[in-house]
Amino acid sequence: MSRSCFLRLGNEPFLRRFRANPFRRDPEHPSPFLFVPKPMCVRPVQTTLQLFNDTGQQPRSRGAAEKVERSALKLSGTILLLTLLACGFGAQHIAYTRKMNRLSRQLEQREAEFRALTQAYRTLQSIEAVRAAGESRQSEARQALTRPSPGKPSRGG
Amino acid sequence: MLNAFQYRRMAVIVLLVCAGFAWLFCRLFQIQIARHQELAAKAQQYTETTRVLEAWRGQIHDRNGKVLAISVPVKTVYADAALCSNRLEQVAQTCGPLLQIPPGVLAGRLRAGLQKAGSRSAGPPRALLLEHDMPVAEWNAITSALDLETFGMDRPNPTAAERRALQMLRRKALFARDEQVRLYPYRECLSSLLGFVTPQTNGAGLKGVCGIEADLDRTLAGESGCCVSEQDIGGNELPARRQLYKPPGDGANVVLTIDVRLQQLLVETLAAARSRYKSRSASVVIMNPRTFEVLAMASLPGFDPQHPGSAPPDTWGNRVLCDRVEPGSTFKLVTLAAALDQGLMTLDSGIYCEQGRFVFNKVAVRDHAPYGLLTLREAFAKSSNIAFAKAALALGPDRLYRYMTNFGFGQRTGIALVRETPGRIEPAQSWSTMALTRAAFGQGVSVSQFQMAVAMCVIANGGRLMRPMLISRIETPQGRVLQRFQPQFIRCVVSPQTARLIIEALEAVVSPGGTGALAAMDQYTVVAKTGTAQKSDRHGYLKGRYYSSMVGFFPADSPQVVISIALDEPQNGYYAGAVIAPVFRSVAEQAAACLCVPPDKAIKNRGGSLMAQSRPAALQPVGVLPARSVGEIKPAGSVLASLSRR
Repeated sequence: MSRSCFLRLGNEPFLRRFRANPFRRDPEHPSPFLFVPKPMCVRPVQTTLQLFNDTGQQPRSRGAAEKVERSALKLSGTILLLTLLACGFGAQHIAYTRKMNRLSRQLEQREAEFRALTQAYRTLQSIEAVRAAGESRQSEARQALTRPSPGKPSRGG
Repeated sequence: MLNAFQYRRMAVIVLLVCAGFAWLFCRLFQIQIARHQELAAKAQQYTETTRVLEAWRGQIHDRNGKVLAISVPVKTVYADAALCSNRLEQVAQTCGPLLQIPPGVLAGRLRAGLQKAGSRSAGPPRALLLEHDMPVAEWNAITSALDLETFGMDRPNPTAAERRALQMLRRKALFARDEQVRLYPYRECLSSLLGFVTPQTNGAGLKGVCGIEADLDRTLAGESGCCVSEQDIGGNELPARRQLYKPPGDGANVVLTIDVRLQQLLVETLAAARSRYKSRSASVVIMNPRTFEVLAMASLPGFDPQHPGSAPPDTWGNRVLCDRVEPGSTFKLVTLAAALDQGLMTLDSGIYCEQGRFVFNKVAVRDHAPYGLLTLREAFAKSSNIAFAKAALALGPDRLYRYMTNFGFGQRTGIALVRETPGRIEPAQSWSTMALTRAAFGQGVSVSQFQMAVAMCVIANGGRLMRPMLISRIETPQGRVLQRFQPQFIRCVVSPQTARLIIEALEAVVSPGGTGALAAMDQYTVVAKTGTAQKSDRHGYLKGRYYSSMVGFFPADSPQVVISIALDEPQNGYYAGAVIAPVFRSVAEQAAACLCVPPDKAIKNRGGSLMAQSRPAALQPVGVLPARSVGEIKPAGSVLASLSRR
């Protein structure tokens, strides 16, 4: 196929093709400053045989097949993305749960220590109360009985 | 380029994938949205645990800071039956000695528990109760010992499963729940006043059943907390995943006006008196007449508040406050106060006592001894019913009733105990003349012993009634005062002059010749009134069953201690003067020593005036004359006019 088919003008979108930078000015153009690059044809290259065949049997729903492919690709990509995202979240959740469980164990231990200390304090308090009551029963009451009465009574006017 | 087959295949695959995702989304919608509430509740049931955090019950202290009631942490021990079911014998062999239960007995209990639970549900029970109220130190020793036990799995090379099972048995075969029990260091001494507590079924701590424990239950109990949290598969709470944590508000400490040293002395004396006179019950209350503070209050028989179930329920009440009794002659105090305060009589006014039998409206009023003409002072000292019946007739029902209610009879005194009886006094409008004459000497009215003590406090306090105090202050567990109670004046019942006259009359009771002479003390001037009331039921007065009581105070000039003592149905004698007066004296001596009351008799003897109880030189009979018959007695108004005044 000649190169000219790429340069022909028609209804298709065209692109003026340069050797390198398409935005470089064409010095041969009569008004290089007003130059607008033309688009090149992006249609795929077709052989004559293909063109011959195409005349009898047009490729069936070529656009639809591409759409399906594209959709499947997008879907796979999305699923992959979601999976990766879910894995990320999952990993983060596992890390968080482990951290919380570790904190739970620490907190539980601290609480148990605090509870044990409180219980020990309260037990000591009760032991002290019982001891004081016992002493009071045995000695203090007797002392009160044998205590000498105060000598001089105090009286107001 | 795709051919038709490839295209179809791809389309089918895409459709299937889409259908799969659609199903997945539908299912997600169903689970997450449509059945959200149902499934969330189910998930919550499996993962969430709610615990009631028991508030620590406050302490009760006496006025000197001594602990009267305190809560002690204990453990209730359970066995994990699901864990033990396969190794029942080994668990029993290992744990039995630690729990001080014979292994055979423990194995039997575990087996019985498993069978009992098996008949009720499919799975084995989670917890089998083994022991109540185990001290914390003992439980700690058990858990330490369990860590070294092998549960019969002492093979040289145990498998991983065996090691795991051993670890589980060591850690979880026995477990305990934190609880609190109430400890009363003074036991029976304060049982009727403090009452006792019982554990609540919902695990929210202890609840007062009677006494101060019940009446101040809300203050003492505090407020239970709540913890909503997630739990792991083993049912262990995950503290870091708490959704709600409301800490418990511990109960406040209550400081009473009671002096426990005095209380102990009283109980000992009272127990001796009860034993000596074989009375059905005995009760005493001691108050400070300046502030109306209750310094001691006891009633016997008491009970052990640690094990209240071992005593009959009728011993649980506080007889001083809750029992309604006919007071008998101690109630003459009110009639005397009314007559003196109204100016109807003086202490030297003469009343003819009809030689011991006074028939009025065809109903006889009798004295325990035949008296002729007596002054009001003598009539009070000798406790003449006839004299006071006549005084009541002179007063009339309205005035006597007014004085009764002003003294606080027929209503609650206002002490912070809700179970206090108000007593019962019928309205004056419904009184017959007979009711009036009976009420004058304490029949046909019912009062509590505490009301009598308060009435005596009024006289000792110069006629001013104040609100009795049993609670001094309420504090936080850290000691910050939340509420402080102060003496509170209510009303003036009689004038200070009348109160002084009544004290003079009361002195006569304890002087030689008075009914309460045996209550006289060596170092203090005691004033008191005795009362011997015949008990009654629905059918009338009961023969041979008496309520003997005495109420009084000392020192007479600057009263510091009011004492009220009562014996219910004493057997070896029943006259209060013979039965109660010596007990009164003993209690008064102990109270004086315990409270360091300065003696007053030395000064009085030096002054020499107050001790002398002399009969007035000229005794002019006033009031109802002996010559008059019953029918000639004039109505109260005209009798009033005929009464001479000093």
